[in-house]
Amino acid sequence: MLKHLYDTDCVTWSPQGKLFQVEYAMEAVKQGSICLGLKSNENVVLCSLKRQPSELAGYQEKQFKIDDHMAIAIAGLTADARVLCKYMRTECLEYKYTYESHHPVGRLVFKVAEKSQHKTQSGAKRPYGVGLLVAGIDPNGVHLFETCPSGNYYEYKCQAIGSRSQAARTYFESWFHLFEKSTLEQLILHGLSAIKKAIMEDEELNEKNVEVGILGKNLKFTHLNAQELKDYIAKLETFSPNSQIQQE
Amino acid sequence: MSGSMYDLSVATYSQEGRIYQVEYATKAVENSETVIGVKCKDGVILGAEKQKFSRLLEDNTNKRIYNIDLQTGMALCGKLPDGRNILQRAKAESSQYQDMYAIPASAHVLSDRVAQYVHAYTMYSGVRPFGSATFIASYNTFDGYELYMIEPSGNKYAYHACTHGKGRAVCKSEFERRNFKDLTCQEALVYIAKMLILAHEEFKEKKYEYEMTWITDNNGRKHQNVPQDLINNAVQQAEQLIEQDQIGE
Repeated sequence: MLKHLYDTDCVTWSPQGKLFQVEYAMEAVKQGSICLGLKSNENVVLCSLKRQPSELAGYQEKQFKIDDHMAIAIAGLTADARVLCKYMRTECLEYKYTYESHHPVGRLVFKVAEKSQHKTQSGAKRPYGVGLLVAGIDPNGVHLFETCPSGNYYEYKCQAIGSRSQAARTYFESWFHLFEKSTLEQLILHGLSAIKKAIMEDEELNEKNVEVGILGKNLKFTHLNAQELKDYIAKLETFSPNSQIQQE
Repeated sequence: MSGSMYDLSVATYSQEGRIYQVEYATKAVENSETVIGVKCKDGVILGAEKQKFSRLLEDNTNKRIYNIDLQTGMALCGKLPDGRNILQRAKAESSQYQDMYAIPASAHVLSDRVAQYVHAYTMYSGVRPFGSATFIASYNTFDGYELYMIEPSGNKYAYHACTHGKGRAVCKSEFERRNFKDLTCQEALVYIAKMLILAHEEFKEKKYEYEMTWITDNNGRKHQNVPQDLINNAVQQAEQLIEQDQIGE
């Protein structure tokens, strides 16, 4: 099939009914470093692996607070993520001003998805090259959503996106049945264990290259600081999901 | 089926008078999950199958059937982002109609507006056709129950039963066999479930969820989700029916 004829812009369907430019934009997400999210009945935890462009540079932040009750983790083109982040923050502020309450999570994700879809239907535009994991808590419950460059979004119990995320997803598939009733600490340790599966052989987790954000029904979104990260990474040595089963 | 040089832009006709880009957009719908709309004796039902492509997905979320108004619903088939764009437009049209005329827009008005919108995207090279077919179901006192389907080409027709997606052939043959006009919505649920299950016959090992909504005389003529226990019962009975059919063969 003459793929090159149909893959240069968003306004050309291929004979098989595919939009190649949108599929290529999804590849940009797979190139970003891994970030994952998991939730229990009370909390959501976001974990990401940060990359350092060079030895002299700092690490690229991957998690951004949108509001007290909502945060995102990004994988893909950081500049595109910044646009979506700004949009989400503005929407939350306006909602708070108008309705004096927190923006329902699902509705904001719908708006982001709608915005993303518009970029896939014009010849003069390109899709956003970033996938978001949106963690949020509202009266409907505890939520974790994934958004894609295509404008699709899904609600998950737990999900990992980015480079080598399949290893983390495999970990999740084995253990996600424990997450609902997990404590915050167990959730963080599960998240870090999953990320550990996805790092390269010569890399190791430390408080500089890992970012953990936590959100709870009575807990505004916060990042774990360097000391807390060090402690949790140390706890990883003795943590095993099996021990959680024995407790229950 | 390649259109050689005439299929690269939606603003180009082929020599036989076809617009290939619109046909390719329709292909995107044909390869996606099945959606059904059926008018019964006492109402309309919309049903959709949803594949759980990951065990990590949350249950009973990721909807495909939405409310446009209290008594109007829309089901999306094909590429969901495109479908949601059409949905937002339909909601805006419905809201504007209500502001102007003080009555809710019925399906035949709404489908007309939506069809014009969908068609507009098939006329300019700077945009592309929607890869999504939408079903609109509604009730109002003047027109009763209505069901319309709008295709990526902008074509729209009123139906008593319609379907699109991978399993449309299976569903169409079931439509011919059974006269849904004689069944109440409650009775028809089993057959809707049966069609949705048969639609993914080749992918039996995967997990599926079923989303069904209805507007009936019994639920206040509002567009609402069918209660989950009724859906579960219908799915169970449908699986038994399918087994019996297979033993019969």
